[in-house]
Amino acid sequence: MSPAVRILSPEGRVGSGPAAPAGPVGSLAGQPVAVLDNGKPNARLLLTAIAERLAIRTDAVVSLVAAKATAAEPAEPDILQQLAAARVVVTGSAD
Amino acid sequence: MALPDQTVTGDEDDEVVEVADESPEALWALLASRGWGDGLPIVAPTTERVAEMLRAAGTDPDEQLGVVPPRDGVATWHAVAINAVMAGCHPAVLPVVAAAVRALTSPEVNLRGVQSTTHPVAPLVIVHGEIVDRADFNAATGTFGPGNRANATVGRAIRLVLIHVGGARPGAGDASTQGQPSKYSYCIAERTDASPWPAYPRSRGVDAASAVTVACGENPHNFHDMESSEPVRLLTKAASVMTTLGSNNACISQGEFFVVLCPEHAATIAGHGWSRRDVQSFLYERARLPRRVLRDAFDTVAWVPWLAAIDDDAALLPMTDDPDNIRVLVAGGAGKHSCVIPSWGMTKSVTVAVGP
Repeated sequence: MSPAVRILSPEGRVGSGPAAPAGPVGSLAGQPVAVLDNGKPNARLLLTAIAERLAIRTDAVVSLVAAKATAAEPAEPDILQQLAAARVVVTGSAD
Repeated sequence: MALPDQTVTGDEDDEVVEVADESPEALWALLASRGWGDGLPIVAPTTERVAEMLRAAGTDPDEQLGVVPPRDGVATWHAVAINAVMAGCHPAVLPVVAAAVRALTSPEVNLRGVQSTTHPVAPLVIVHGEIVDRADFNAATGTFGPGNRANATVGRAIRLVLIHVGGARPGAGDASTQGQPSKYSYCIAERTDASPWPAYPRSRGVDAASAVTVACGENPHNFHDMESSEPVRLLTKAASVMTTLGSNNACISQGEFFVVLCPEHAATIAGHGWSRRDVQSFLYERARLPRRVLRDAFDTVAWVPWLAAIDDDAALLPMTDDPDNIRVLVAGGAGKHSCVIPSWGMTKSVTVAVGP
């Protein structure tokens, strides 16, 4: 039997650990819910409709509808700062 | 999770998988079980081959070249060398692959967007300078491929780094709706011996013996001109290619175009006294569409303020907001075919020196 071939993984290590998932949000009654429009066509319409449905079901309040400057880049720091005030942010990825 | 015939050892930085042999069947099974590879056969990145690749480069294997999103994997020389072996690279080209990774991870490239967009964008690697001949790149006939090991494997190594270190697997990390063939490999070399203008890196302020440019865009769009003996009619065809409504450049004003001229087209243009800058300026003026056509085609545009402020529907608007966004170089062999490479849009090309 021939000796085993030792092959190196091509992935390497990850620079920073993945962010931990947020914990349960608990009751949303009276809590602010925000929308982050990812900049794609119809995203604001769809995401806001979802946030409004969520607010109706949970007695939450849609407090902010913010948009990225462009779909191709991350949200600007000031937008993220505004979103941080919300208990839940509704957003989406891709088209 | 390892298959029964694999043994996994080592930590995350230096994980080693032992397989029974490196037959095609064993390697296919390994790739399938790990989600590795680009769909083509690989050279097994054994510890010995990777060590030899790194020994030739004479560099610190742990030196970090960049962080590759969306996985945010750390591209060390060691990790890049593993992927270069898999791609079939000769050790002489590892510094080119490393320089391209360094360039790609520059902030202006916006690699996170490039990697994860639904657009088919792929990074084009352009090799410049003395390493073109030293490492046997093909800058002449068929530079975009196929048929040359250095071009083919450097482009492939970059793709493998993007897949493995960056986590850009189709459907998981790479959301490209259809992909494009240049996602397998996309590497050419500048034909400085047949260029009437200074080497491209010098036009970008990089004065090095060897350099690499990365530019993230579409596949090449060919234009042919067998007849023109002066620049205007010839470059009007390039401008025609640039004015397609289907490219991101039509709705994003900061996008670049790479215009890769064949030597015969370049000679015709330069023979009339035109500089590289003249070509850029002419295409900036000639590659235009009426505002009405652009606004009819798009609900949303990302234009700089001065373009957005123009409200005359009959005004002819340029396809990019600055002549400098039109990048011109020479590559290829005999014949009268050149090409335009539209950009993804929200990205800028980067040129860096090649060094150990």
